[in-house]
This record gives sequence, C-alpha cells and structure tokens, in this order.
Amino acid sequence: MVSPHLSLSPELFTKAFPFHFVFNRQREILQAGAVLERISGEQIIGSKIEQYFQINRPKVTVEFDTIKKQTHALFILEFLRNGMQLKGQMVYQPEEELIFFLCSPWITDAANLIPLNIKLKDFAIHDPIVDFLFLLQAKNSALADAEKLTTELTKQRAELQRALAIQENLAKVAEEQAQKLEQSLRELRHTQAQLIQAEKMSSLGQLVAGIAHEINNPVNFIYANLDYVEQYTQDLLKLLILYKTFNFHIVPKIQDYIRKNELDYILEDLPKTINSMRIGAERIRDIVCSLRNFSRLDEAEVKRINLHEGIESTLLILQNRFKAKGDKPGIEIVKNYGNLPLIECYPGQLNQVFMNIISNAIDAIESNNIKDSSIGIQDNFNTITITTEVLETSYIAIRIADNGPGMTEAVKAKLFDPFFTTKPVGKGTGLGLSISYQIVVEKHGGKLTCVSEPGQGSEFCIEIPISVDRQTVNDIRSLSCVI
Amino acid sequence: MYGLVNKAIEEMVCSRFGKNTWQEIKQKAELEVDVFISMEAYPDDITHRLVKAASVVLGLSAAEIMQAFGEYWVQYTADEGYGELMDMSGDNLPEFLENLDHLHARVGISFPNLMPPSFECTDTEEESLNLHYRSTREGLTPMVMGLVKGLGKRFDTEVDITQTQSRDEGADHDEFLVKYKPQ
Repeated sequence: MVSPHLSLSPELFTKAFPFHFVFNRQREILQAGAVLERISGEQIIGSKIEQYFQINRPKVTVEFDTIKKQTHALFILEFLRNGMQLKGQMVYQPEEELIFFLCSPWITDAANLIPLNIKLKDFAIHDPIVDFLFLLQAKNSALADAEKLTTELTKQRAELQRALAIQENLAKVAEEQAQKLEQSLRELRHTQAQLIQAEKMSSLGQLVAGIAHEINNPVNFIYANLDYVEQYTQDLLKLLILYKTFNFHIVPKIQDYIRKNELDYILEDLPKTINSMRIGAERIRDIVCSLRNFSRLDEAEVKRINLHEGIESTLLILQNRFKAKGDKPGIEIVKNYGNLPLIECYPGQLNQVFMNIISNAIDAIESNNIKDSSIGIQDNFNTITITTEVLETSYIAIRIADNGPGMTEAVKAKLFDPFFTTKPVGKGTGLGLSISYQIVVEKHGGKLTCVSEPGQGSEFCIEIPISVDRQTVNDIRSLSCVI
Repeated sequence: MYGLVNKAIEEMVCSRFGKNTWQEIKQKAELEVDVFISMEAYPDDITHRLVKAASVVLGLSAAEIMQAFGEYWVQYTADEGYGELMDMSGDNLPEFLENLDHLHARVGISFPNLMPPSFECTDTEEESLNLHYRSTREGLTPMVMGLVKGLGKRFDTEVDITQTQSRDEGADHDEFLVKYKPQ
C-alpha cells in the first residue's frame, strides 16, 4: 500500500517553521516564516538572500548549486538586520528547483531574545530551542547554587581553620601549662623533701652536736684525771706494799680487814681497772669525735677532707646495728678502700648520703633475714662491702654493696622519687635516697646510680669530682639560700 | 519538591520574619538539611513539615502560609533567573495563564522529577476566565490563589480570584474564577 502524499498548507507550514525561508536558483526569497517577516521589519520576499543573510557555516559561497550540495550540513546564517543567528538545514526540492531553509534562532541566553523582539510564543511548540533555554536557566541556577555553596564552604573552611588554629594554640598553651605545672609540682615536692630533710637533719645534727659537746666535757674531766688517778693509785699501792714490808706488827683488826677485802687481789686488779677506765673513756672520746665529725655543723662550706673518715664515722654510729643479737646474725663490713686524695666537698652532706645508703643496706639485709628465718634458711653470711677508688676522669667512686634481696625494675624506676619507700609505714620517710640524689647530683655535680636485681643484692655507686667546680659551688650557694 | 521551592520558603520567612524565626521553624520541623540545592529533588514531606512548623511558629494557618507563599513564588522565581522566560511567556495575565501549562511542561524537562501541575484556561473573556487546576499533590490550592495574585502584581493587574469548585468537595479538579482588570 502506497501512503498518500500529504503536505502542510503554506499557513500551517509557516506556523510549524516560523523562522524559515525558501529561495530559488536565482537566490530570490519566495516565502518566509511569519515571525521572520515580522522581525525583519520590511518585505523580504522577492529580495536576494545575500541582501539579508550571510552564511557563517559552512564556509561556502551563496550559490544555489553550492548550497544544494550541502544538504547534510548544519547551516548557521546571520540575519544582517539585527545580527540574529539562525541555525538549521537546507532542504532541496528538485521538482521546483527550490531550497527550503528550515531553522530556529540560535540562542544561548534568554536575555538575547528581548532585543530581537522575539517571545517564547513565537517559537513553534515543537521547537526544542525553548526547552534548551529553560535548561540553560536551570544550569545557571545550579551554577549559582554551586557558586553560593562554594563561597559558603570557603568561608566555613576559613572559619574552621581559624578555629583549629585557635584550638591548636590552646592545646599548646594547655600542654605548656601542664608541663609547667608538673615541673612546679616536682620542684615543690623536691623543695618540700629538702625542707623536711634539712629540718630533720638540722635538728638531728644539733642534737648530736649538743650531746657530743655535753658528754665531751665530763669525759675530758675523767680522761684528764685518769693519769693522776693512776699515778696516785700507784703511789698509794707502793705505800701499802712498803708499809706491809716494814711493819711486821700489824694489828689483828687490820689483818682481818686485809684478808676480808683481798688486798692482794686489789693490788693486782686496780691498775687493770684504771686501764679499763682509760680505754672506756678513750672510746667515749672517739664516739663523741665521730658524732661531731658526722654532724659537721661547723662545716657548711666546701672543705677538702678525707672521705674515709666520713665513712668510718658513719660506720661507728651504725656499729650497734652490725652486731649479732639473739637469732639475728651480724653484718660484716668489708672495706676495700683505695688510695683517695683529699676531696673538695660538703662533708656533712656526704655523711648524710653514706648514712642513708648504709642504713638502707642494713634494712634490706635485715628484711631478708626475717624472710629467710621464716622459711628456715639460716646460712646467710651478711656483708656490706664498701669500695672506694679514683676514676680516670678526675672523679672518685664510692660503691656500697649489700647482699640483701635486691630490687625489681619497678622499684628501681622510682628509687630516687621523693616519698617513695618500700619500708613499712612509720619506718621510712621515702626521702633518704631522694635527698642523697640531690646532694650527689645537684650539690656535687656527681652521679648516683644503682645496680640491682632481685636475689642479687644492690650496689649504690656514688661518683663525685675530686674538686667541685665554681659553677656548681655557686649553684649550691643559691640552692642553700632557697633552703 | 525541588530545592528551589524549599529555598523560596526559607527566603520568604527570612525576609519577612528574620533568620532566627527560620532557625526556629527548621528546628521545629526537625530538619537536618542545612542548605537546599535548587536542582535537587527533596521528599515532599520536608516541605509539608516546614509549612506545618511555620504555621505553629508564626501563628498562621497552613492555608494562609501557602497563599502568601504562592504570591511570593512569582517574584522569587523571577529573581532567581526565570524572569526573562516569564516575561516572554505572555504580555498580560490571561496570556500568561494561557501559557502556564507550557511553561510547566518545559520546566519539567530541566526538572525530571517535577510532577508539575496542569493549568487550563476556559471561558476566557475580556476581564475574566476560568482557571482549571490539576495536581497529583494535595493541599496546594491556596498556593494557586496566591500565585494568581502574585501574577496580578507582576502584570500590574487588579485580580479577584474565587474558587468555584474543589477537589475537597468531591470535584475531579479545582476550578477558579479569575476576574482581572489591567491598571
């Protein structure tokens, strides 16, 4: 079945293509869309197309045959009256030797329609160019939205960055303050420890010095008179012997008294008694000397001293604790003293260090003894070994080692912290090693270290320079002022 | 509804009652959206919640708000870039109403999820016409009345609009009698 030949009437055709025009081989415009005619403002029918139009695309001359060959090309013509671009296609009709230019205005912005005096109703309903305009507007709206959002985001990002910078700054300040606070707290605890220990040692030192002084005088009376007592006793004893030798007629009452009181024994024992008194008095003098030496109240400044004397004084004061008592075995002190030169130091302060470390060693050994006796082990041979030596680096070292229970890593980590103690409540203050550390490290510019393992005993090593340098001395003076 | 509608509600509230009131409405509507995107489709529920919350906060009925919004919508879309397209859609109120259906159909190409309403003019006289409104949505009839009033302002035309039949009363669509007189 052959479909009937149907076509639009010229009126309908112009409605369907309101911007079209038709021209012949002579390029005369024979027909034009109503809107095109309207906006041209004059009669274009009968005119040559080049009078009104210029072909922008494709780049061809305005020749009928040339245009005829370009039926597959997209034509863009410029309407010379108002610059309007018309986009469309050339349709060649061979029967009448005509070319139809079916087109629409090529518009990329609705605003461009206004100067051309074109309204939306001028477009054919089917013409997608209007949809294209709406689409363009939608795109512009979306772009405006995106632009607005981008601006907002940029603003928010800047604000966020500012806030982050402030937060970071605040965190930094807080961290610095926390560090300062921690440092202050640490210093405060040290100062507190120093104050407590200084007060304690000051009181103890004064007490010891006072007792030593009070005992020293009467002991000196005794000791000084012992020579006379001995001499007088010798004289009296000689007199008695002479009397006994040359006087044969002793009255019976005297004879009885001599016999009853064993004069011969007295004559033999009295010199021994006096000698014993001399030894005792000498021992008291030594102890008094040691106490004074230990307290060193008269030696607040740096002095050159023999450190062994300080160690010996400390050992003498602690002598009572080395002795065996009842079930408790004694502690042997092994001394490996090197040939130390005189050391420039604070003698009283270093004596405190020796006292603290040796006391701890005794406590450790005693705690081990209690533990061992509770599980039936009694074969301990308790020793504290004190070694002194000169190091190559103009330092000297004093090592105090015990064969007690040793320490765990956790205990060692806190060893020099103020108020840290492993002793039962009431026995230790936790200040001894903290103060010792300050004395050795801060006051003498030295080192205080500990080597210990559970079951292997502990060794404390004090390293101090032979001579305290000036800077350390100055620091020490300012520290002393604070204390 | 597209973001453009929700943005218009936001603009209307902010311009007339201030940003704080808008924040209050948003909070009451339990809205989690910070910024509406014009070209994005949002659930109708968001728009309904906004209108409901605005009704509570502003002490106005939902119908009053929708009518005010319809009036505002004309100016808002013109300001948002559709002014020229609107200008080219008609030289006067009846011509524009005549083309309103085309306008919505063409906008539908750019907004694929639009579900646009349909408008039809009948019995067009020199100073009156019957406007037939059909929509898949409910509750927007007051907006149509506001919309026509807004268009009246745009074309400098005195408008009187009366609803002559209603879906709420069983009719298959809403119908309005629009009387107009260019000034």
